[in-house]
Amino acid sequence: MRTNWQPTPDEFNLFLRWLDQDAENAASRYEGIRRNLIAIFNRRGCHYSEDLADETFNRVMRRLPKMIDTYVGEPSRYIVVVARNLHLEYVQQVEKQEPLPEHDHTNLSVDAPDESKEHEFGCLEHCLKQLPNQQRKLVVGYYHEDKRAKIDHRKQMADELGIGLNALRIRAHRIRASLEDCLKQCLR
Amino acid sequence: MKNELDEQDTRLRHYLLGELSSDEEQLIEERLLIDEAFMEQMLIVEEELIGDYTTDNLSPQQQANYQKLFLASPEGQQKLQLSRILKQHLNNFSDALTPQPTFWERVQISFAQLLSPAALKVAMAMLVVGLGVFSWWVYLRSDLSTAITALKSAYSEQRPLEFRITGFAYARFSASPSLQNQTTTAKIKAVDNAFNKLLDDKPTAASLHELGKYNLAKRNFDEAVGLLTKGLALEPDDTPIQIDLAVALIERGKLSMASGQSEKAQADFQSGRINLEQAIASSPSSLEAHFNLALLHLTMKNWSEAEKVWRHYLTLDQVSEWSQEARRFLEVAVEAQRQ
Repeated sequence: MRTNWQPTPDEFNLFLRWLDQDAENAASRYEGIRRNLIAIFNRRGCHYSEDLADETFNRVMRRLPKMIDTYVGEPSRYIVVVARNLHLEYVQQVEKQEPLPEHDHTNLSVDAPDESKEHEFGCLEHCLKQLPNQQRKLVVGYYHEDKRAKIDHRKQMADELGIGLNALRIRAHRIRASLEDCLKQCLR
Repeated sequence: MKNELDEQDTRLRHYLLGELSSDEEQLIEERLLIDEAFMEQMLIVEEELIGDYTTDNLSPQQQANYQKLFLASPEGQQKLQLSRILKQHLNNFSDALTPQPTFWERVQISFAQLLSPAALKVAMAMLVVGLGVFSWWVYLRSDLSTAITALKSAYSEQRPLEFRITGFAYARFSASPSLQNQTTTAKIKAVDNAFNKLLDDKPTAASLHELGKYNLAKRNFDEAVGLLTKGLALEPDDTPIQIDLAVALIERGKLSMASGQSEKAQADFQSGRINLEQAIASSPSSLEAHFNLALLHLTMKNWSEAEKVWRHYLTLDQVSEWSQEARRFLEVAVEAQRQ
């Protein structure tokens, strides 16, 4: 699916200028859009999301010189349309291929052998220790598995911190994200 | 405001479950592409959705849909695994919820315990001995550790070679031009400084290995082959050195091939292959050795061998980011045989 076409420096710079006239802003927009395109392809179950994001950019860069003067609207709209078409091609190609063995989601770590569980536990312990006390307390408290008391407990946590429930949710998510990064490194 | 958030959460949940129309999906994706706060909100909704998935709180239809979408991607599988680990083990850390003594309270308690005269003498003696051992260890290790850390950090965003250098975490490889990354350039300068210091030290297998990897990353393949060969002579059973030596030989072979020196290239490929097969014989679970051997077969256009080794690799590694590349290479090998 990936073509061999690569942008020339001029085509690449034209694309950056299309994203933003200011070079620094354009570079940062490019990185942000690329990261989010990868996230979108991942949510569609794609296996080569980075390649698909780069191919999306390549296709846009290839067509840009012909349409830049007439196109009206946010570049993101055009990029999404190209990405969605590329995704359709990806699906068609995947359907033609001999499938790899299905991933058994139900077995992921639930039935992991004892030594693997010990390793997971050790990693979690290590990663929790890397967090400052307050963050550790917040993430353990927020995700504590006690369904009956969960909602009340979160309200109480938000009150203690003097913030709303949504702010608590975002704070917990950010701490969890850094905890997951550490876990990924440790389990690798 | 709260209602608006709830409504957005619901729409994002439907989006993630593939329950929206194509037009609605497109609108959401346009916003996800440029609105970082909206992207973060989507990640939070996703986290809650995965939580519902692991606790069987989705309908069978939703479970099936979600398995075909995000959970079919390597990143989704990894997120699910992490979510299960947190669900299984986090409750064991509920002592984090009980109030812990502050730093000063801990200092006070420690002093109260230490200040009995006998305990104080023993503690002082241990401290003196400990400091001496630590200083000696730091003296021996600091340059090497600094160099290794700097090397890994410099190539953490984009790896220098398509083959795997041992101990390097996953980073994408790209032969095409990308944005100039000033941070990476600064990091590579830091690596140069760290490794220049190492050159003055008496070589050990470990320092020769790191110097070899450094030269490998900088594409000085002759130098890398020399250093890694010396390192392997000092530690003949060291599998990581053997794997990196193989990579240096293969990369050198690729250069020879490009300049028309076919015989020289084949000799290096052959030596690389032998080293990788020996590394696999002594460490059958080495992902780096399998990955590199499969990629060598692909480079040499031994398609069926490449397919065999990639398939074996994917039985050892189904989740990591390396496995995404492995699947792509496997497709290339399969496709080449069809043609």
